[in-house]
Amino acid sequence: MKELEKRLRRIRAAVARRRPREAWGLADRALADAAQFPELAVLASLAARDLARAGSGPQLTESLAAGLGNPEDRIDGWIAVAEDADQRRQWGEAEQAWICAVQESNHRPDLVLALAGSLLRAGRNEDALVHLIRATESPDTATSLAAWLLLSGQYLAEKQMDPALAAAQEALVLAEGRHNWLAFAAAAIDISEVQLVRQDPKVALQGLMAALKKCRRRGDPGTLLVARFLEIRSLGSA
Amino acid sequence: MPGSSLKEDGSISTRDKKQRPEQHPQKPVDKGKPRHLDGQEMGRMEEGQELEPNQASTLQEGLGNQALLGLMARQSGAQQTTPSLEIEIEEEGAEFESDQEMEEIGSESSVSSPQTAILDLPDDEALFWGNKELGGDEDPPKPPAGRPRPRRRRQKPASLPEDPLDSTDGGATRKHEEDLQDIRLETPLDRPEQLLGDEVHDALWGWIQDPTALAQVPLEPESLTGLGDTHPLSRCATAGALLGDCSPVPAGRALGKLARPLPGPSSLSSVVARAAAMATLSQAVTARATGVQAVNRAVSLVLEDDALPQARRMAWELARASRLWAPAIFERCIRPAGPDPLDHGGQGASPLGSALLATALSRVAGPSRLQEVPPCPRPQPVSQEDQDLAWLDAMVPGKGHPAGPDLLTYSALVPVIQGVQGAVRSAAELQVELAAAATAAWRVAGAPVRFQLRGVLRALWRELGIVAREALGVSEGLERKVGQPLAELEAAMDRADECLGDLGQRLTFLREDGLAALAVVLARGTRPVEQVVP
Repeated sequence: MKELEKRLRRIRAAVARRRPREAWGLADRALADAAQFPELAVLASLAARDLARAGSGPQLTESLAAGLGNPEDRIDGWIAVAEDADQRRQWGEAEQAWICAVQESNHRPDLVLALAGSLLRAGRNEDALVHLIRATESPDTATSLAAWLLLSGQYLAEKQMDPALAAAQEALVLAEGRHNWLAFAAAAIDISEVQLVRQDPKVALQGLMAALKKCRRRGDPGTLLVARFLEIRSLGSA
Repeated sequence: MPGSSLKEDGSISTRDKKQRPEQHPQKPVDKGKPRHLDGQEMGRMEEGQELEPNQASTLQEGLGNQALLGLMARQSGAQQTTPSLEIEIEEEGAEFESDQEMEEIGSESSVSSPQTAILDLPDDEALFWGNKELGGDEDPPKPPAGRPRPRRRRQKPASLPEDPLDSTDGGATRKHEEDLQDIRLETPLDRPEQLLGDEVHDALWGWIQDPTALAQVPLEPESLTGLGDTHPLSRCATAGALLGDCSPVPAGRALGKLARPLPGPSSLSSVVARAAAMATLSQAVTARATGVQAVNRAVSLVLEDDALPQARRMAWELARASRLWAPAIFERCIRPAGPDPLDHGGQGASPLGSALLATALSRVAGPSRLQEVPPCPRPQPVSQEDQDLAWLDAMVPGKGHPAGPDLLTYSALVPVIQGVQGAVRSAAELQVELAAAATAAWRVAGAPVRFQLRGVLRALWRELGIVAREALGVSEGLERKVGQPLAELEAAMDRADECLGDLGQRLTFLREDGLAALAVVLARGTRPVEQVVP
């Protein structure tokens, strides 16, 4: 069985590395043999899914629901089910699968963020908030930065200015730390949005100018900040 | 604010107005096909970005098939060799051919080799390319949409253009010009030597340069339709689509899918900023599995999605000059007024990085349109009544000699012949697709990989010729058997089925191998970039 498991993993690796001939060469016997081992059902279904075999999706869901497979394969399996459902825009099915993936992974922040992203794409912005807040606690700054940025956008959409400002400021700090000037611009623009809503265009422009200076000192032209600057000026002149 | 000259009312002083920013000459701006972005249905952003001109699709229908068929007809006696799917990669300079040499090849007319045979089309085939159905002489395929060509310049400060605020594509109003002038004076652009943190993920950087194209407030949902394929928002969505589908990291895929308009912002700059931020964060997460340079290159590649229309146009031109082959298409694509490439030394990418590069190349090349060949006809059980009718038909004067129901008829072979022709047409189309992918790779990697890319194309062209010749040989062999009893042809049909049945798969493998080989070339021509943690 160990040998078979190795072969199944090699199939997946070959697909991931775009080596279809190698994958197809391994697949025929390995997938047939795996049917005898329920422990390998999830892995075999994942390999079949990678090879775009017909019927692999329902088979994978059945195997997962039956509690088969080792923990890592099960997480991969739920992610695969969730992404397939996302692709088909079956948002309810996707949410359930993402929740299973999150639970089985002991609340991995990147999967929490993925769950929030799925809900955002489904238009369920309010439901996404709680997951975004959880994702901000990620030790990985890329995940937490993304979560803060999405959070500030959601708060802005709901006209909750104080939490929007706080989230955008968190994002600003993280983005500067990562030297991600596009995220930095997004956060600075959100802050200016809050200040505009609070009828304070002068502070908004000053904040933008300060952010712009920071960017341009690092060699980034700050095009988005300049665009925001032009927008605020055009609003003022209107 | 210290250091700035903001006035009390928040406006900015407009000193030194004599120094107006220079405007670039008016570039053709691609308005693009209006697309529908209705908030949550952001997936539509990707649609219509790969193939736009109707004429291109019309051209594609017949692209190169006549040329290859002409070749195959003359080469039917040639040896039939099972193609080796190993792709040769010519080392740099190993088979150097100058542009002049390319021209000479085009003017040769010998049929002694496949290479020259395909270049030497008969007149009727040359006329085919002037056929009105394809738009005629006066109506070649539309050139690729004009697009801004700012490239990644950050790793080569010496070649940095002037401050991007100086060049706003002529879109700046007078008021904007004044504001931009003020900003430029207040905030000089520095040129640091080293890139830190996420600054290395700069594939999108060159596409977000014109602030006037990004300033729009208030933003109505319908404002997002019809922005055009070259708009930064479309570029972010294209990059996000690649990573959303192909990142080996779940978080990378999740973030890639969010690189598109999201609810909340009330201005265009905010929408674009958030989408671009998600795309670069997705890149950063993906880079953990693939390496920084591979993901950056892959995103750069997928943004070169005008390579296929350009390759189609060049193919159209070359076919008229009887020079339709992938290396020539590639050379023609990169020759005229191409962007000055960056100079990179060699360094490999991780296997996942190469796979991501191959995926990006596959997107540039467009979806595969390979066709399967239907199975050969087999004897059908025939009733006594049918046999009697056939016998009576044979007795009637003028009816000729009808093919009996147990004989192989030409009409029964038509689906197979059409299938073979379709597959050969696919093989010809594959040349254009691979030339497009190579063109995109060259745009990203530059001159050092040019000859390796062309070497891959030449190797693929040879393999495609072998596959197509073999298929046409089988098809012709079947045609020669028309009129013979089907029952006696069973073994021949089995052999034909065996050969033709996997034709689609062999072409699929060739496409995959070709893209993988181009990705390897691209990975080799990659300067290592270390991500410096700030």
